Amino acid sequence: MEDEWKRIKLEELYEQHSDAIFRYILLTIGDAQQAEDLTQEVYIRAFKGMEQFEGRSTYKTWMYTIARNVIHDFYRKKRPIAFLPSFFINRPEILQLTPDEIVEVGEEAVQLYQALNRLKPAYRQVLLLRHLKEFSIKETAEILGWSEAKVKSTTHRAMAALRSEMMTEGGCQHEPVR
Amino acid sequence: MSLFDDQKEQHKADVNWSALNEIPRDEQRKKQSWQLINQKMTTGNRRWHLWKKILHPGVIGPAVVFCFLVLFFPGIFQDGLFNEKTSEKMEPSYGSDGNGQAPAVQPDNQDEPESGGGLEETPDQAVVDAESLDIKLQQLMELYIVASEDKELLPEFFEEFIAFPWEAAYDRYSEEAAEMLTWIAELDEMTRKEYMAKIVEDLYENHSFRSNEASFLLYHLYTLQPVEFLNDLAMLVDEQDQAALFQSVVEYAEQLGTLDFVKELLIEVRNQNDITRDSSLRAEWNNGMAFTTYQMYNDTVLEETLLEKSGKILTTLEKGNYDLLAEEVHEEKGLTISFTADFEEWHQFSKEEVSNFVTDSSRYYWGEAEGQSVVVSPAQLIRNYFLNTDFTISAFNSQTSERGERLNTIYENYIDGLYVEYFAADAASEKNDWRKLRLVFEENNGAWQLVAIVQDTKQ
Repeated sequence: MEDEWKRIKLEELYEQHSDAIFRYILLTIGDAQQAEDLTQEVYIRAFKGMEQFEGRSTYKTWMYTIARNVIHDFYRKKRPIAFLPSFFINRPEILQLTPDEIVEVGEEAVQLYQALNRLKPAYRQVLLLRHLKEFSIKETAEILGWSEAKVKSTTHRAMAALRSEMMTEGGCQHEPVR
Repeated sequence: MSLFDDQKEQHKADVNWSALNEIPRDEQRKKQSWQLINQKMTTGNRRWHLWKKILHPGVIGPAVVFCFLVLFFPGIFQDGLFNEKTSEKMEPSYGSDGNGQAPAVQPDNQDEPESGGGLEETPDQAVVDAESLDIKLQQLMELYIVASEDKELLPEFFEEFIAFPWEAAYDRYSEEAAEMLTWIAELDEMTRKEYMAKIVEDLYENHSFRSNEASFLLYHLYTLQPVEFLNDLAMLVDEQDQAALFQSVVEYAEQLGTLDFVKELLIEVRNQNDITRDSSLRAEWNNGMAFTTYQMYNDTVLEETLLEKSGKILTTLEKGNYDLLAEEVHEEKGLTISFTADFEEWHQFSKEEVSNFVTDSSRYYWGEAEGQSVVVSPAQLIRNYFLNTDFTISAFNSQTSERGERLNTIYENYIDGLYVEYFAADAASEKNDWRKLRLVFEENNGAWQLVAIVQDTKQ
């Protein structure tokens, strides 16, 4: 009976959040097939851990916390070649979309993603959660395991860095004559 | 949370954010995913039910009793055999130094030969004793030689390499460690980086990268693979740690007298990579150059000379005496004036043009300030923008930092330059604004001449 309740609850969570979680993972790692596999992993872990869910956060925040851990583990397992593997999540590859998907999303949006992609992982993570997924500072702090102050300051820096990336890409470069 | 002040630009950005949030997901795959999740949930449940059966008291009870008897009354099952085997195992000495000698440092009980050997000693025994360290190092070297033939021993080697008390021995064994680190660097990429990562990770987790041990290891990692080192440093979440790790390298290089080499490697990194394509690497590189150069000239006569010279130049600027200023300007490169720390907007003037600043009414576009375009003559710019505050602090070659503001890129433009920075906190501002003015010098025929004046402000 308990298992049945867990299954029903998970199905509900799958319907409600799996698309958003899939996109969050896709925008972090860049590969749709991997993102789909990792989304599965998120839900399997959620099923296993559902008894430990204490209701201190919302189910949504909890699911994203799991997603963040799944992504982290994915990089640790897949790419032990990273020089300092446990400090950061590696950069994603270029967003792999089909031409049809690019048309649907729009080239400018893809450019925004590329600018996002050039930021350091902490910046990217905080912007994906705060700006794209519209989590509050408190929720973002919960998901990333940071203090609220760190979320605030990192968001501020990340926005400035993203602005700078977008302007660099769009503007022209000047070099003093030497 | 707006990216742009311009409403049109912001709207465009909002639309693009929304588009990213709507990247299509293959419905077929989504369904398949759910089926797979369902399958795994069922399998997981079956396993759980199996465990439940195994853990049933009727099954687990006798098993616990059996284990208890084996542990506490082994004679019942082995008739003393267990004890004999244990004592046999203790006979051979693994920790010999190659001549069959026991380690020089013995525990209290001198009658019994040391069991296990150096590599299996407890951490408490990792004492700063020269002889025991020699033995430990020899064992590590032996393990290194064996591991270089047999890759299966790599994990064991790295474990011991990390556990070795380099802190106490870095000056004694730098050659051996360098040899081992070089070997690590020559391993295939996967293995090499995995283990290098473990070394640095260990230092990071213990927060000890200011120690000599850490400096020693980090220095070698940097000199072996400067590009990878900087790249990965740039990815650290904590910017303070980034700075501390590189400072550790530079300070160690100072002890060795190889600061020039550290700088050469940085220049090589720049020559071989387009650092401007990666904002984090760019910041790391500029910070690295500033700090390395600072360390090269800190507490030298040159530092004093430049601080004095720039003090006089600042006074000259305040008095608007451009004839005198022109005398300090670089003969060949002239004077570049930049309104921003990253040289986004700048103009270059010859010595002669600088001396004519008082009468030169030509207006130039310098950039934006408080949403307004700044289009003024050089003299107006210096008087009204650069010097409209009291600079209270001066610093020699202060390290740059990436804090969401514009990056100080002096070293991208003046690779052999040195600079003096003047800092003023804007007391009138409610946003804790600040302003910095950097005077950049380069050597020309034995004299240090002014090549640039660069402003930096809080954005």
